[in-house]
Amino acid sequence: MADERELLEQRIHDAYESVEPSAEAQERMLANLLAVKGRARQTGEGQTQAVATAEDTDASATRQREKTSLRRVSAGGQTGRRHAAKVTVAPGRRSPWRVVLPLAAMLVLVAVVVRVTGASRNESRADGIMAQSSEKSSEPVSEDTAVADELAAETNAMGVEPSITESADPDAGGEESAAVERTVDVCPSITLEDGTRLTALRDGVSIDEVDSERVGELLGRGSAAAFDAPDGEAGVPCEVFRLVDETDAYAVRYEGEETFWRCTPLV
Amino acid sequence: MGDALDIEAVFRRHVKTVYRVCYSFMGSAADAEDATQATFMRLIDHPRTFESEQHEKAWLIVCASNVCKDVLKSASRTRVTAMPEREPADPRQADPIDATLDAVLRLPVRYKDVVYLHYYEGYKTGEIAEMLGENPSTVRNRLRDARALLRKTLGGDE
Repeated sequence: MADERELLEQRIHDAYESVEPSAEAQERMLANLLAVKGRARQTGEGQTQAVATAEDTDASATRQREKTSLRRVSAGGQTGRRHAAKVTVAPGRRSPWRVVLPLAAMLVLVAVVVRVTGASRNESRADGIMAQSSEKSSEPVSEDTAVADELAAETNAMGVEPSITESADPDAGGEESAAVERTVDVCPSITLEDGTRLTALRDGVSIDEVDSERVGELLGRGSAAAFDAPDGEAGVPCEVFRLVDETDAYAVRYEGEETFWRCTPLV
Repeated sequence: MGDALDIEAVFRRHVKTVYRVCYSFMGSAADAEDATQATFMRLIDHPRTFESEQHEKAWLIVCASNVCKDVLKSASRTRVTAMPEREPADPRQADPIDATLDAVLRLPVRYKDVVYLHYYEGYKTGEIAEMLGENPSTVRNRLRDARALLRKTLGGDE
């Protein structure tokens, strides 16, 4: 049985051994390969950038196919006259679509997930802003407002007078609270006793401080409040002064404060 | 192994091996030549550095096997059947080598690479499995089946 098996192995080996390309065929194949290689080199040097890019795309698809199908192989030494080898990689024969399609699908999926996540974040942020503004304007006392009121009560209990800002904007917190501590932020709408209306807002948001050296004579007294303050609500007393170097703008100073803020007539 | 690919040197070292593999799959000299060139073209298109000549050889064997499978698959899709170059030999009358070669050529494609790697190159089952990315038991089964087919074709016991 063993002899028979060995005989079969020997016959198979000899059969393979008998297959050999003729010398002429070898030279023909080599010449073709060298010609193709030379042409490829020339083509690579002479082609325009656009064509080269297209080729790169094709080549990268092929490379991708080869890369993904590389297989790691290890093998032993020699067996008789047959040679074993240590192989580390071998090219696969998987279709490029097997790689490209799942890859493309994965990229699309990632893009969709990123977009959806971003949209939901924006929505939640927008929801938060909406909720914040609605809480500010709505009459019913929200839970946050109640907490702020409790804090204010505690502050009063400690003998500290809550500032206008704190009482006006209980929802503000952290960095925002530091920014809105100024009266001018909360009460930018100024009404003088003669009915003249001014605003301390510039471009809707920013407020400029005015150097006291630029402040001239008193224009009038009045009160300041928020633009959306209900009619009849008592505002913060203030004084409005002319500027020595500007005719279209004025300086307002809120009661109890020393800082002058730039203000302009409300058109 | 040098860094720069000397395709002529590589070709001269391994052309017979690659050609044998291709011939065992394709069954004709013309198709085997085409497949051999395609195999070396893959190396030209994507040059790589090999650890040794054995590594280089093994890579080319697997590459040639894959090239041939691709060609045969493509041919089967387009329903183009290559005419066999050799007339099947009567195993009892023809030269034993020719008869064996005919039997090998008539093996189903799935057996061809494992038979070549095992019976001609001398790789063990596990090594072939790693090279082809197959399960060792799959390779063992294929070798067993191929051996049975060859024995049957060549008039053996099975």
